[in-house]
Amino acid sequence: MKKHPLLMVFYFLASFFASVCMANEGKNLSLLTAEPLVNVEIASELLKFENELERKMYYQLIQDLRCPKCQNQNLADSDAPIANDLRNEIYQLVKEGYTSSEVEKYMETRYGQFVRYAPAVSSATAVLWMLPAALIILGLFIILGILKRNRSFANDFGKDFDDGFHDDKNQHTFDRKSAEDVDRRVTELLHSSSEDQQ
Amino acid sequence: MIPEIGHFALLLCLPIALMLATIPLLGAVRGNRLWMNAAPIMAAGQWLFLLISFCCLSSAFLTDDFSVKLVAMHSNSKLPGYFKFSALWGNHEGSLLLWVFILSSWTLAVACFSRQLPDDIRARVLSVLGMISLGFLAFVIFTSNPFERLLLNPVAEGRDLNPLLQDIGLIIHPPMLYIGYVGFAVAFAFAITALMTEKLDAAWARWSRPWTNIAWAFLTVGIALGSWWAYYELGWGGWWFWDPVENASFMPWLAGTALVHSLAATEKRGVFRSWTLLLAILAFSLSLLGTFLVRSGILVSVHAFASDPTRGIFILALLVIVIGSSLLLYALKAPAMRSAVRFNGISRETLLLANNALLTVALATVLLGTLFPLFMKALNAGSYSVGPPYFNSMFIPIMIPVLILMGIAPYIHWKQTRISSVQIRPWVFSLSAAILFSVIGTIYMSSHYDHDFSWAAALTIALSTWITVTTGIHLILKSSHQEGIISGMKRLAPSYWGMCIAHFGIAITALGIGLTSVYSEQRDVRMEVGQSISLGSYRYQLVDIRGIEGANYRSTQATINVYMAEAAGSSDKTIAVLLPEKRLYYATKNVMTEAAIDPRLTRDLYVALGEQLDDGVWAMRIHVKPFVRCIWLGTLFMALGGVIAVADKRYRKALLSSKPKTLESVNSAASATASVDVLALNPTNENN
Amino acid sequence: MMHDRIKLFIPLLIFFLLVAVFFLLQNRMVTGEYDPSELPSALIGKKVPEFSLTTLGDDTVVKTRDDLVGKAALLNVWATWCISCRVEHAYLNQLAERGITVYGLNYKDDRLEANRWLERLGNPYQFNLFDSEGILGLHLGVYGAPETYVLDRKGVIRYRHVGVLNQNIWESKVLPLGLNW
Repeated sequence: MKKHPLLMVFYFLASFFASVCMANEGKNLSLLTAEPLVNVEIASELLKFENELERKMYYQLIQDLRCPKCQNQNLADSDAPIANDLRNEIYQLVKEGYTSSEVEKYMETRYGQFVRYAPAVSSATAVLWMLPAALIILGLFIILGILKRNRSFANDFGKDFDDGFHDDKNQHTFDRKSAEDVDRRVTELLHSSSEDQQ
Repeated sequence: MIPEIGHFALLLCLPIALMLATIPLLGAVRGNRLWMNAAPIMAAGQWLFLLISFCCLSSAFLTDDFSVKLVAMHSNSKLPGYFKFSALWGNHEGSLLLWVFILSSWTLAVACFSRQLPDDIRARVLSVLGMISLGFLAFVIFTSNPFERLLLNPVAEGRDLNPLLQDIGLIIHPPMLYIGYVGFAVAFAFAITALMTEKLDAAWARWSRPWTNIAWAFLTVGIALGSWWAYYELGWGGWWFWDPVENASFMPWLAGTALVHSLAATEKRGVFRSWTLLLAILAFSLSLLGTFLVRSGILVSVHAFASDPTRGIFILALLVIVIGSSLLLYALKAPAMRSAVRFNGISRETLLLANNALLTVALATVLLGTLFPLFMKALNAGSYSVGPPYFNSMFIPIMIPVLILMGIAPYIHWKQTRISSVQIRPWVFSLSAAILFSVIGTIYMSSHYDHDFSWAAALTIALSTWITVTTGIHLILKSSHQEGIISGMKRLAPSYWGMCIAHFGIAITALGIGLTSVYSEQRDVRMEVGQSISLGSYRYQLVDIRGIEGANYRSTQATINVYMAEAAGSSDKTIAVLLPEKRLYYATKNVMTEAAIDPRLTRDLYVALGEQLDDGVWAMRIHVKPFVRCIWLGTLFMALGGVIAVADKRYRKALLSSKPKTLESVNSAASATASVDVLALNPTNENN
Repeated sequence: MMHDRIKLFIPLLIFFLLVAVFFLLQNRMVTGEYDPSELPSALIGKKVPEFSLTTLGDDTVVKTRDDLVGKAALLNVWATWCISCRVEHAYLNQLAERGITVYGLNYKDDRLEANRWLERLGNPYQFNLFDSEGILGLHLGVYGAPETYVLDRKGVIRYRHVGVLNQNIWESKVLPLGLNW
């Protein structure tokens, strides 16, 4: 009996997911009949690519490169004539077999590092790329430091710290639905359900 | 005449704000009750005069009074009425007036709903709000007067509102955003008060929490509306660009999110006091920083206001006074705010600490990325751009542990949890569910969208499932009750419901972000009238192209019928009719692309009309965006959670029972006020 | 304990660092030294990229990079569709009269129209490179017209000005380069 809640969650999610899967115009009633994409007819595409990889690369590049003239727009979104020229140029470069980093380098030598939304890693941009990781490590040390200090203050967990804030016992009399209280009940419930099993 | 009345009312606010900023504070310092109690009246007066001022400006816009410069520059007689009204805040001066008006409304709200606060605390909080108000009123009046007249060269017709802003999104996005931004001023004022009085206890946290939650909820909705507006209005199919101005609103949100959590720990356990104060200061400081970045013209953004550098200097000075002095106060007074409370390594405090650390690093990363180009410019080290590829690669890895922790923290007790007592079964269950859904979901999505197996999508689905299932199990376990689950659920505290709903919202948003990023498809195609092309599981047919007339624009509109792809002959059932447009606005001569969208929960079909290539032949950009709706749906849940949490009894009780009469309220009031009187933080506590 | 107290000043220090940066930039904006939308050329200190283009006046004459070498000179990017270029043109005429070498790069334009423009408004250019596809423009990093590149005797780009060239710019930006005009 005690397992009902868990099963309910599971069924709820399963049915939700199933309905999401089926919601696609009732076409794909099950996973097995899921139709793969029919690609767009080649003739009507404005830009023609040899393969999917090339297409992905092109669209990624025009997303990640900045239009030099515009306010703050990438090449894909800009209507400026220069953006159009640069898109064409990138399309040509991609067709000629340039790799992504080669195209970026090509644009950088002409328009400066300004056009790269992800600045190349260099001594100048080291702070930009390293600081977040450094901060994570620093944060880890700070947390460990706080925990260590706490431990040195109170090795004995049995004893309540008299901190002036309501502890478990007082809380109980004030408000039966307090977090601690409920947490304890959760534990009890889980205990009893595991006992049921045995 | 009306604009002059508005201007006069605005000018009157300045001395009122000056009085509000000084008299109650002096009263609190000297113990003069009369001076302290004058605060609510001054707050009300300030609000009233700003309301008058605001109404006068609205009326100038609504009646097309082009002798007012602002109206002449940003409105037009052909503009529909609701856009005339929203044009008020579609520019620097008007939006700043809105900013100040919202601040005064928050001030009035604090004055009204804080009767249970000790007089001196309330007086100080209102004074701090008055100081901020004073600074911004001075800014409006001296640098950005919205009522300026065009006396020498009156014009017959206004220049019109930027067409991008002629949209329902602009009517509601800025007010929501400002209510959120400016709302953090209240938490800020409480923090400054705590520093001034060196008093920070559970009661203080209980007072600050509802204000912080509501501001946070509004900011969440405001940001989401901005994202939604950019998505359908800009015609690029993107919903987040990591533009400096977007980041300027996102940073206070990150700080606010950290604050909401750290306040919870401060209220329940008295920990992180000094940190909570810093976050409260930070959240509002970042709002001000955002205001500076947007209005000073110091950086290039799609959204920035046209601006002149003297204004920038003024806000900068304001920034130095407000943020500088509060951080200085913090540095001097925070030692008195040391938390004396200890907690075990395995405790909810530790997890909230981790949550805060991660959110702070995320915040620092966004700040760094936004300002990096400015640093390099200042050092004459060249022009750099920092954009989506940087932010995505940095931000997402930081957020993943946050999402994981979200499923763990609710199960861990405050203060200490013995490892032996931790139940791992809900986690095992949730993890299995996460893996199961992740595998099934990714395989399904990949086959449906003809995509390689994507680890990013698998991780997204796993994380969303993980959060949902852990939260769901916790909810169900917690609501188990002799009389059944439903009555158990009814007994749960609203603050707990709020948490669950907000976390569920995060799961939905994360799912939307992940899936739409991985599976979105985009094609640029040429289409002739009558021709149809297949893309994905859909067939698009260009039925017609025609010209139409709008109120203040002329437009070319395409009619595109969408059918299911593979049933070419059999089913001609139209799924959707899309009407993308290209508009030419008369007044500004701007050409705007209006994308057409067929929205569903599971996917959007998004078509934007491009250039005419030939007679009857047009370029089109077609997007299929799976689950993009979930991004905004989730934020609604988040905001809802934030608001529901405020309905918690303990905030209302604190409100109603400053003088407890019944036995029940004696108990609750005891918990609320005990700490104020007896347990107010005492520096000597620290050494126990 | 003292150590702990110092840590509390870190947020304030970071804030003042930011303010210093903002103040510096705001100040430079007021004096006109800093314009957020201005983009310095990536080719400063480098030679003009190699090219081979016909001249505007005669489509049989082919010019290359070597034809720009020998004297300090301006390379002015212009087109008939560019409204600001018309504003700038009078000043270019003045410079040419003063004996300053000006080369033209006719950018993505129509040959007939461009020649007619020169007949009507005067021709300050030693010769004009006809770049109808914008190929040299792309290699130079041109993103609009007008743009003016300042070349030294060896054909190395020393400065690029975006927008209309005038006496003010000439005095404040070009002359301080110390080239031998």
